[in-house]
Amino acid sequence: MFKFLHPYAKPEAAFDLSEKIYRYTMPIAILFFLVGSIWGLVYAPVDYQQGDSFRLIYFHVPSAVWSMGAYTTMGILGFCALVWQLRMLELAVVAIAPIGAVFTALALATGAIWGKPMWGAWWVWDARLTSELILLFLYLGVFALFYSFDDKRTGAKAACILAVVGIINVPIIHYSVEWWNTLHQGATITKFAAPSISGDMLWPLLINLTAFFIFFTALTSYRFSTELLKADSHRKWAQQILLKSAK
Amino acid sequence: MSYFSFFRQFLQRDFQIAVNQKHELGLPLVFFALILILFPLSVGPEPGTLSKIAPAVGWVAVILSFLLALPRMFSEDFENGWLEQVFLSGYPNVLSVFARIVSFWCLYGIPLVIVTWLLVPFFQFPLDLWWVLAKTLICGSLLLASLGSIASALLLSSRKGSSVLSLLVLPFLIPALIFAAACIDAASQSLPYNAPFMMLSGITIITLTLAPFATAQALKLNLS
Repeated sequence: MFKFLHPYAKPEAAFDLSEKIYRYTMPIAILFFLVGSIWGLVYAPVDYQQGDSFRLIYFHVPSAVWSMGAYTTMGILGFCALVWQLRMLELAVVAIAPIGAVFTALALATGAIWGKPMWGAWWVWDARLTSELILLFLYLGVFALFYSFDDKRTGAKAACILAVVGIINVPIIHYSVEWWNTLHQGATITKFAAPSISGDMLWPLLINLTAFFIFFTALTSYRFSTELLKADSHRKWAQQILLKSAK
Repeated sequence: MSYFSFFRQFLQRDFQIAVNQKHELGLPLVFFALILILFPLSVGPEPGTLSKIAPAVGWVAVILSFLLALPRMFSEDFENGWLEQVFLSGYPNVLSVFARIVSFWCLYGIPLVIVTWLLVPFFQFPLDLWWVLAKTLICGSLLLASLGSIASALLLSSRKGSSVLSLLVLPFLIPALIFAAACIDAASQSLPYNAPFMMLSGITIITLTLAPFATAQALKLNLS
């Protein structure tokens, strides 16, 4: 695997790769997103109990799932960056943090809009809501830490350490909050044996889950390539690319 | 010099410096008392309400006062170069960080826990419940010291230290707060509170074991 990854320690190669990933995945993400959203919002059947407002599931669940997925990715990348001292991975951690924060904020916002008609309140102190809110602050901590250093390399390494500390703590926080209070409905689609959601409603959800994942990949590679350009702006290869795009 | 005598001398030095700068030790305690005064003034002086919110006020005030002291955990030794010498000394960095956590806990954590006794007269808080609160706080302040060591080490060479500090410490403290509240809740209904207390001490011990590694890494980052 390292033989395969080795060429990408070179910033030019990593930049090219991330540009390419962004260029190819972004259209796919938009396509999946349009299909899933239109199918979910227009063609999926109406829920017998929640009416049309259940359709928020098509945005709420994907953003909530990938807010956690992004944090896990960030923690693992941070660990690898610290152990193998890879500068590219440090930049990737910094690239992921704001995207994950936006996913978390999106999950919280759609959840609040959904909660108002269903539970009668914008916010309740339920376990999942609370741990999602804490997750938002964990993300904010990572990039607040990054931006509080003048030296970007030190800032990125500090952010990596915090991401690793966070990934160890997330399960503890999650289970202690769970222990504290629970009102949120249980998981609907993780039980693969018999999902408690009808197939007509499930397919658009799965498509949107995929769409958000590809979207996350595309945005991460985009942010990664810009962070890389910014970090290497004094070097020749970056200046050539900047000059080319300025023309 | 054996590891144990290194540890002991490290603590001795910390205590000596603290004795020479007594006013630094007093400030978080004064801050704690001030927060306590604000509550009866804003909530109203009814004894029923006050004794009900007393444990929550105690915990939050201890956390805030501790945050006030945290930036000083490594900053002085970092500025005068002592920290660098310790890291060059050949003794494990984790050991020196652990010693600093322990000394910081003794110097700032334990006095704060003792000062929470003020809740008993000010908030009409029952003394036997205060004892439970104090026990959770002894664990909690050790947890705060070890989590805080990571945050304060990370922010050592950054410009806007203390404003980011709370963002790095508070989210990780939530489990401790939950279990401490569960302890006091059970004790107030005279039920056994062993289970949440063991969870709290377990979290504290895990954090105390793992935090020095992260802190040592963060210090090394700032020293390079």
